[in-house]
Amino acid sequence: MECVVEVEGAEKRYPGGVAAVNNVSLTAGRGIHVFLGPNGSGKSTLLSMIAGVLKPSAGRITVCGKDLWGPRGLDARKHIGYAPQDPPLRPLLTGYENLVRHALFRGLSLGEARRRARELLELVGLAGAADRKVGEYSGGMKRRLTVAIALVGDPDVVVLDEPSTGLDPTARRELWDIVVRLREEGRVVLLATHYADEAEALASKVYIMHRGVVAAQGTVAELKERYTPVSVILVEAKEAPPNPEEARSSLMLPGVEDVVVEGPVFRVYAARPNVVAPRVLEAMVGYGVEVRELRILEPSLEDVYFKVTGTTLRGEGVGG
Amino acid sequence: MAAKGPITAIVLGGLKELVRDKTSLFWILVFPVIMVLISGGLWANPNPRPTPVGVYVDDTSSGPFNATLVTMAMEETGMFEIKHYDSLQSMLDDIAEDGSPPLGLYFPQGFAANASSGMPASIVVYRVNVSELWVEVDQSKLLGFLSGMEDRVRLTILNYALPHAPPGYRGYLEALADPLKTRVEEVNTAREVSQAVIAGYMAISMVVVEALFIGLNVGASMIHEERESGGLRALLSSPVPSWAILAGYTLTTMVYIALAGLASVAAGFLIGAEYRGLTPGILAASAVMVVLAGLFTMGLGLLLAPLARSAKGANGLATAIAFPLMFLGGIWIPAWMLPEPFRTFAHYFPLSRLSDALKLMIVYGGTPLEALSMTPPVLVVAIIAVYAVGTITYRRMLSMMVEKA
Repeated sequence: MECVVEVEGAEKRYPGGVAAVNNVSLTAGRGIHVFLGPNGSGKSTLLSMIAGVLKPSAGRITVCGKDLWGPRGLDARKHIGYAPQDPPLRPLLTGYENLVRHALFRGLSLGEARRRARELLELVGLAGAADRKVGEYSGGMKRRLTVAIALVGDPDVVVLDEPSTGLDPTARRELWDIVVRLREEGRVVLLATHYADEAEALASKVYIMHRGVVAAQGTVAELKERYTPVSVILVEAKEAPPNPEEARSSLMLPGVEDVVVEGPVFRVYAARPNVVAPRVLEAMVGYGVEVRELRILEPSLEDVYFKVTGTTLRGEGVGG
Repeated sequence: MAAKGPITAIVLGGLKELVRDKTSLFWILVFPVIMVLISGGLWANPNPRPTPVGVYVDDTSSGPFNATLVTMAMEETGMFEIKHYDSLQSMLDDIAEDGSPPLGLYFPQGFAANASSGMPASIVVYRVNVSELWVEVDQSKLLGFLSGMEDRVRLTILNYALPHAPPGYRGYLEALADPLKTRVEEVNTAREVSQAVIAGYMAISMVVVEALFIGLNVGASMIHEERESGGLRALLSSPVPSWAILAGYTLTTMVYIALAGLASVAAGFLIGAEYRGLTPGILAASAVMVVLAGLFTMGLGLLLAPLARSAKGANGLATAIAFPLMFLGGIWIPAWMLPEPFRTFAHYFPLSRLSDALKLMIVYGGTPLEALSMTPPVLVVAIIAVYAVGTITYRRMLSMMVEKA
């Protein structure tokens, strides 16, 4: 039977009534489910609840049919592998010993734990550093080891909270390969990130997180089609305009859907960019802006995020 | 799920971390050895320091019983270290300046002539005006010596006088010279205070001191350490029941205490401790008592945990509490030496009782039954209650973290 994660009306409220997660419902089956949002959007809180670390204030979460916070909560946790944002590593133990430790927590015998630890070190590319103390690992190595820890119990559901934060591009690619492999193995992967490109590269389904709610969800193609049926004319000026709102208004020409001004960068949304672009250039020069570069871009998930939430993935609200 | 795996993981990890962490190694293996070697070596020293005594002889009279004879006799006992002065003032200046020597003997004019001829002879003892225990002890030593000397003088004078006394008066004169015929006889006892006993006492005390420090520190800091290292999140998302985590840490604590205990006992051997009656029964009873000590201190540590916000803070708090308890709880310093109200506190303090019971068996050769009589059921119940309340506190903290993580 396929393992599914079901979240029904999950909420997390802190004293004072602040809702970190507010009435979230979703069903996640096989594939990579990416929760996209900046810091504070509620994605890590939601994943902490799904991982069984944080108790919801309201709602219900089941994993493979078992209520995570009910009497069979420990049974439900057998199906979960969790890589938290802060690596759960003991710095005085080696990478291998850390993995064996977590394998024993998952109920493996000592022999099985040792075998599994070797396998996973190979998988995440740390076999050569297996016997080095984790305190001597780089940030990237710690991240990879944390992913290995999430996999140590051979879980049906893998929860990865910002696994690629701080990784260099090569390490990120390697990590993505591992995540894709998890999908191919038929697991449910829940991944939180604030990188739009990561979501675009990996996601079977994207959940746009904003202020504790899932503001939109769907495949990457569905979200783009729904929220950004227009292309983006990206104009980079030499300097930021003194009055962004006025600059924005001056570019709201016929055929222009929207304009976002972020410092010296203007994003002009238009259905027919080839027609609109010369007019935009003309208007900018007329407004007194010195243009350094103009490019026509296909919309990205970042644009989708902005269209849905009115803020960027860095958490900034911008003009427009 | 079976708890064997998580418990094994915590204990194995704890041991490996211990071996690699120099600070923990110091406190668990080196510190007890140093403490036993230094303290045991000092207290169990078979040649205690002689008491420094200043001597100024102003007497120019002569006689067979003179100041030289007295000071030579003092030196021969090995109990005194004599320093001669040229003037009374210089001796008093030294005593007044820093209490070294703490005592001075002044032989005034006519001492030899009077003492040798049966006349009262004056002698003045000066002591530094501080109420330190050691000065009291030194003064008692000196006065005791002079008292013995006085008896000898009286008997010598009596021996001169007796031939001239009427027969009916001899007994009376003898009684006058030595009215109390006091003698000291040694009685063999299993609890003799020998060097070996003192060394053993220190070593076993150190086992309990280590139980105090280790239990309090691990109990107070374990949840904070797991939270700070991120391990708590991984544990909460795993199928490990909270009691298995606690059991793992409790067992790790016991292993640490056992290692520290072995180090203390080995250090005791180095300074001449003799451990009596190490029979299987006594070893088993000792193990039970050490486990009880560990449960009690771990329980106390768990109760302290909510008062701290970080592992460092928890360790600081645990040490701040353990340190005075080590001295005032009747573990390191015997309860009878403590002032009230600490003596009463030590009487009821479980670690003091367990420590005494352990020493009774291992140092003084008592039986497990005798030791058990020092650990009545109410004490065992109290220890288990402290651990149980500590466990509840731990679970409540864990629940709070699950609410707020």
